[in-house]
Amino acid sequence: MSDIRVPVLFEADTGLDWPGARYEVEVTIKGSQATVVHRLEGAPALTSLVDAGQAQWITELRCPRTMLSRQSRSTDSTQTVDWADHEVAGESFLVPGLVSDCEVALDPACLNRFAWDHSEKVIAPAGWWLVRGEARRVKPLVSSLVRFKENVRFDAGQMCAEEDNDGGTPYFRVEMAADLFGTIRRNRDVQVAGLIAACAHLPRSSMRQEAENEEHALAQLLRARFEAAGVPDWDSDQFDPARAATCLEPFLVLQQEEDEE
Amino acid sequence: MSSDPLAIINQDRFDEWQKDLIYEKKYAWSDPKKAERNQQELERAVEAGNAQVRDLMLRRLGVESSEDAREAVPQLPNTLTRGEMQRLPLHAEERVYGALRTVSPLQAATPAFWALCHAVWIGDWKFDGDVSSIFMEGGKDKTSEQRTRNFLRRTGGLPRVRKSVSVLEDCQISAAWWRCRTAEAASAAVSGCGETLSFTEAHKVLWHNGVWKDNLALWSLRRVTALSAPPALAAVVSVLARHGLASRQGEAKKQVQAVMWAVARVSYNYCMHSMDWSQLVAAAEEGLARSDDVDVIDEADEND
Repeated sequence: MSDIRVPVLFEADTGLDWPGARYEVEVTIKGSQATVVHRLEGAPALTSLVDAGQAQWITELRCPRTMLSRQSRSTDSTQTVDWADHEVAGESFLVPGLVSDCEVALDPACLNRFAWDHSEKVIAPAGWWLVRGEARRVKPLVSSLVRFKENVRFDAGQMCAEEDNDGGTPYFRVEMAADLFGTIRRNRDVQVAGLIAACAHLPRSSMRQEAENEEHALAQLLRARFEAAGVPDWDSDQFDPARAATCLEPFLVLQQEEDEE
Repeated sequence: MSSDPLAIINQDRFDEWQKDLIYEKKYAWSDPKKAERNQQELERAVEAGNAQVRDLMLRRLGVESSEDAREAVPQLPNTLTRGEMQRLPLHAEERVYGALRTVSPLQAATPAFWALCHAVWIGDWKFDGDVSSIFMEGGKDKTSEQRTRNFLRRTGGLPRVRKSVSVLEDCQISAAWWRCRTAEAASAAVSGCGETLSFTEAHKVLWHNGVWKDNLALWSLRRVTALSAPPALAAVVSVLARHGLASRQGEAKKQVQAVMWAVARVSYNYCMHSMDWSQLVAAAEEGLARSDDVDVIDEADEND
C-alpha cells in the first residue's frame, strides 16, 4: 500500500505533478455555516472525473477538542458545510479537496513528463486526495490570538496584555478598564490597540524561538501571515509590534474623520 | 437536566479560579502567595465537608443557586466508591455513560462543565468516601499545590497544565464518557462497513491500560487529528480487538502507537471517510505486525 504513487495537486502548487494546473479555495464563514468554493483550472482530466461521477469535492470538518471529523461531499464546486454549536469547542478546521470515489485511471499525458512515465497509466485508488487545499481555521486568526477581558480594578482608559493559554493553545489576554471594555464591540480602534499590545509580547512569548510553542500551529500561521505581508516576525530585531498588528487588522480611518482634519 | 449547564456557569470566573489556585513558574504574573491562599481555602472547604466543597466550587463557577446547578446537571446512576474512583471498572463506565447520554461533545470537552457536575455530585454524596481521599490523595500528594492539582484534574481537568487532553484523561467520569463515546463511534463505523465490532468489544480495547491515556486520546487531539474520523478510529480499535493487546502496559502502548502510525501514514494520501475499509484495516494490521520496530513516544512527562 505504501508503494502507491499517485499525483496530487496542492493549493499554491508549483506544478510538480500537474503542469499548468491551479487549485484555489474560497471559504466564507457565517455563524455555524461555511460556504466553500473550489476553483480548479488547467486540469481537465480532474474536472472530467467529477463530471463522470468518479470524484467528488470534499470538505472535512475537524474539531480536535470534540474529536469531531466528518465530511461533506458534492459534485458541485460550491459546497455548504454546517455544524451545530454543541459539536465543536475551541478551534475547528476545514480541509477542502477533491477525492476519488472509485479506482480511477489518470491519463499520464496530462502529467509532468519529467516526473511521470507517459507510457504507463496512473491508477488512483478510491478515497485518494487528488487535489488538496490547506486547512482553514473556522475561527479568525486574530480572535484566536487575543481575548478581551474587563478588569474592574483598572482606572478609566487603562489596558494591559499578558500571555496565557487555553488547553495548550497560547493566546494574549488583553484586560481593560470597564469604560474601554464597554465600547469594545463598536470601537475597532480599541481592539487594534489591544492587538498591538498583544503583539508587543510576541518576542518574549512561548512562541519565541526555542520556547515551548515555537512550532504551535498558531505561531506557524502568524509567521506565514507576516511573511506574506513582508513584515519581519518576532524573532527578528526588526520586529515592530504596531506594524505586525496592523497588517493583521489595520486601523480604518473613516472618510469623514479625514475631512474634519 | 433541564437547563443548559454551560449557560449557568461563568467560564471566565472558573478559568480565573484555576489560574489563581496553582502556581505556574513559567508565567511572571503567577503569584505563589495568592495560590497558597486559595489552596488553603480549598483545603478548609474539604475539611469542613461535602456541602462546603460544593458551595465553594459553585461560587467559583459563578453559579448562585445550588438548586439551579442540580437541575442543570445529569444524575449519576449510583454512588461510586473510593476504589471505583481510582479507576472506574468497565461496567461502571458503561453505567455512568448511560446516565450521561444527554451530555453534548461541547459540554464534555469543557472542564468547567464537569466541575459543575462534580460540585453537585459531591454535594449529593454521590461518592462513597471523603473528598480528600477521592479527589486529592494518591499519586503526588505531598504538598498543597499537588493536592490542589489532583483535585482540579479529577473533578474535570486541569487544562492550564495538561492542555485540552486533561478532560479526556484525568477525570475518571469525563474520561469514561469519552471512551464510551469513542467506542460507540467505532462500533457504528465498523457496522457501516458491513462487519461487526460490538460496543463492549470496542470499549474493552479503549479501557485497556496503555491504550487511551497518553496514547489514543492524546494523538487524536494533538498529533494526528485524522484519527478522529470514525473509520480511522474504527480501524485502530477493531484491529487491536481482533489481535488482542499485550497485558504489559508498555507493550500494549507500542502496539497502539504502531497501529496509529500506520493509519496516520495512510491519512496523508487518503480521505479517511472515503477510502476502502478493507485497505484501511490492512494498513492498520500491517502497522501492528511491525510494532516491534516502533520507538514509543512517551508524553507522560507532561503530567505535572
